[in-house]
Amino acid sequence: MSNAPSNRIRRVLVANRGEIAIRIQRACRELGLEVVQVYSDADRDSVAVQNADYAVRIGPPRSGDSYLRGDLIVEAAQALRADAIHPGYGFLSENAEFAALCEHNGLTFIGPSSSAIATMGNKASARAVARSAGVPITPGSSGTVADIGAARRVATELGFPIILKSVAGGGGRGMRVVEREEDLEAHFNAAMREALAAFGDGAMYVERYLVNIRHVEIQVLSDGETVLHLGERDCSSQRRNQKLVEESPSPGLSPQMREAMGTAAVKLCRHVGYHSAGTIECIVDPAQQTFYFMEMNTRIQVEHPVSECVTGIDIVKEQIRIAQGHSLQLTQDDIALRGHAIECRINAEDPTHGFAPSPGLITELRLPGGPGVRVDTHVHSGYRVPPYYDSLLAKLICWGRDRDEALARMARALSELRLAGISTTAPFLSRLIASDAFQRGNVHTRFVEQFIEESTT
Amino acid sequence: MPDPSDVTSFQDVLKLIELIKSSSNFSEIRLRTGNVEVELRRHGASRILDDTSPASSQPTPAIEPRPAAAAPQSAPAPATAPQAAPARKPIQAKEGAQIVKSPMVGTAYRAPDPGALPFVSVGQTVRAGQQLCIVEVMKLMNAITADNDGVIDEILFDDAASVQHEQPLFVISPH
Repeated sequence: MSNAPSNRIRRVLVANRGEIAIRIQRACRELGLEVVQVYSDADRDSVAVQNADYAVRIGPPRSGDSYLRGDLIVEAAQALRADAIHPGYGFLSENAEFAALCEHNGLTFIGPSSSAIATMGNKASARAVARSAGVPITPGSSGTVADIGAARRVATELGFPIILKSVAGGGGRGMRVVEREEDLEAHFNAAMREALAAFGDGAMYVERYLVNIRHVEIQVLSDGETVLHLGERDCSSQRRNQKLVEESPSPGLSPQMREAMGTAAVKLCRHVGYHSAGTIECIVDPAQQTFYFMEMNTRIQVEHPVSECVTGIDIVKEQIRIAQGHSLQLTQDDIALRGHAIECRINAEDPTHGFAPSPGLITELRLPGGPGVRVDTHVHSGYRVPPYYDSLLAKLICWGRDRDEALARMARALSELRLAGISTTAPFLSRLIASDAFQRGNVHTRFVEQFIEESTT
Repeated sequence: MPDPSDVTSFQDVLKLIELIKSSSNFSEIRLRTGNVEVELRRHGASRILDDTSPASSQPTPAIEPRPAAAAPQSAPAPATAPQAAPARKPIQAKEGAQIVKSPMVGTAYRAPDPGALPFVSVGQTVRAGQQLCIVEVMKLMNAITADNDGVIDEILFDDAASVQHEQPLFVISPH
């Protein structure tokens, strides 16, 4: 705290809901900042609203009428004299126009600049940036492919299978794996339509489709001068591109690979003049011991506590301190990964019915605790899970001196969790982490889907 | 320690009251300072609650209808009294008509995208398996389809309305 902040922040508006709103509020409190919480009608009685210094209703439940209304949120910040807005994840967190709107209205957007979001948020331009920074990218088109003809040329050159991706994509939408050339045209058209509908941008690019890969991401912190990497998170356990379990360190990374990926992530951040917390997502091919840049997330991520547990660094607080104009007080040598951390996402979904959403009333809730257990949640007994937002109920994070201890604690913590009234993914996660493959750390991005297939046949 | 100007004062409360009076966007603000918790709501601003939490026992002003864009019947009904949901005229289903109900609580959309043409309209002939609408729940889009061939007699929900489990959405009569 020795350096004087160049940007005075007294009051932060939290432009999000659920567990991340509470997480941001906690960081604000510890930094002595006041909190303005915006809410939709569905979140009127939420813990985040109850705990805030100020809370202001911004609209009806649908996020398009509330949490995505950047104009209203900026107006609320000005009316309640907030000096900064924390967007959390999802909603407006990676919306360059919203960041610009904050900038134009003299509000500090707690995140990178609108131009950095615009550059890194478009997947094709992010690939181009990575390439010019000398960071390896998956073999594929050098930019977007204008039409099916261009897609066919690139795909034939790469060899099938290939993956079609939307430049604006996320959550698996606008994405198609194409195994054979004869399927290319149909998939290309379908993916483009889907991307156009979901993101208003139908631009596509092509990459070689790699199998038996891990999804490993590097957490970075940058004040614009000092760029640090906080090690990796292995997020290979996904279902339909939605992460279920994350851990750090990755069981599939050698110290040399970790070092090379961290260095590349820092290089990329420097290249774009990145400023804030961020994540560089990579594909790792364990057999070849190679990695490729996939995309950058210019926000705090759901799974950030995993890195907090192994580094001892409060990433949300650091992110806010950077926005206040503080310099990072750490150097890369100060950062060491200690022990092992695993996160399980407890979602309101029914794993016995194809993970169907399960909103409704939580009639009973008992959370796990004890050594090495952290729970980030906004739910409580008597809480009604609204149908309007994502299904995340709680993040259960367990730390251990080594992976075995972290795994044992996770199994123990999951067994302590009691949540009645709605279905959750907890029983499925118990079985998943107990599986032989997960115990051995031998997972890849299709592991969960294979596990589901095997356990249902 | 915050300097005295940081502390919420009576003056701030007055300013917030002015804000609520003058802004059409913010009808409801809460603030906490020390042990005092203040909730300000413009008279006539309706409360659309997502549940029947007994915790919300603050004095509630008369609830007046909201503009049509966000009709109050779009609010999910309390779980304890699902039958108290939208007060609509009774469904006049013809002999042999099928009533398509929402299989889940969520938000029902009549068109594939905002601004796009609706999937179906009244008087239209539909075939079994044809998509009638979308019910979104927790960001998952569920296609609702017709069970049998028929003609759309009635559409019982507004676009983007909140719907309950088993809430009737369409009346379809046989040809």
